[in-house]
Amino acid sequence: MVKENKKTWEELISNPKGLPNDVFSGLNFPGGIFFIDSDTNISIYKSTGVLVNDKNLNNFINAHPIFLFTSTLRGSGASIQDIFNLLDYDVNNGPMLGQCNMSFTSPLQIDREYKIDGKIISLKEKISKKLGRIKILDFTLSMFDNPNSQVASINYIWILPEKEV
Amino acid sequence: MDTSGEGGLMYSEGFTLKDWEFLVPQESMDTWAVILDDPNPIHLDANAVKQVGLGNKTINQGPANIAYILNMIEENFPNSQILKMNNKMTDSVLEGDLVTVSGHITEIKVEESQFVASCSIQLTVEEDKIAVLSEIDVLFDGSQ
Repeated sequence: MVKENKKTWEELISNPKGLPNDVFSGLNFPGGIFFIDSDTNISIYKSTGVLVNDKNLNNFINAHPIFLFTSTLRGSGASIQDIFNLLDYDVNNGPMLGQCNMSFTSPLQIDREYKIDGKIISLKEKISKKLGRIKILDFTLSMFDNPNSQVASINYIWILPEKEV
Repeated sequence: MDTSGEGGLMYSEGFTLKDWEFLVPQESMDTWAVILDDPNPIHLDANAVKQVGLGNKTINQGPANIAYILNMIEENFPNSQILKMNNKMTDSVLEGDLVTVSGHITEIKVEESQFVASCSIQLTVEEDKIAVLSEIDVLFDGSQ
């Protein structure tokens, strides 16, 4: 029987140079927790054009659904920069979000802590007519309420342009 | 299928939802860089955008664009719940752009005593550039 020798995130990040793309398939994120606080919730509403004042402040009883995006990326145990570091990817090449697909089993709550985990599905290379040589990063992150019931998940597809050598 | 929703609105398949607009300021992108802990300079520095050949204005973060769409849904379906949202980013939104979120209901289903509206939504810039295409399922209480 062949013994699977899958490396962990921590093992790979210690030496990310020259790693083959397929080493990331199925790689689990370190995982973590994220606390949705009301101040950030209000910041999100205000910065996206929603009027928030003393009269309507108490109407914001649930967390903005975009917290699925922000919580999972901030609470996965790896920031956006950490992900790029793992892939040995230069952020100055202009990575872009291509797709994100979200699903909820219940609304996200303010002043609640959520457990976050997930995995990288794949990292693949291709040639784009518009951008030239690119890599496509596909990963999924999930939010869990206590006791460990999944409340939401999100799948990301990132487009990573490569600088021509 | 159709139904009466909040405030007596009649939702039906093919129903055109109310548009939602927002003028994107750099200040908003600065806030989102903090919220996301995202140092990507293309959101913060026009020179960085020029260096990677993506234009000469800073580029709005993807989740902010998605948040605008969510705000539009909340305005059209008050106190509703998003069940599913699939987003395809097709173009950039830049600093100073006026974005419009528009769309319509494609289908309404009944689930127990509540309704699920499937909506086809697009976020456009200045009427002719589609930046995000979304397919959204919204759970709402259709009773009066």
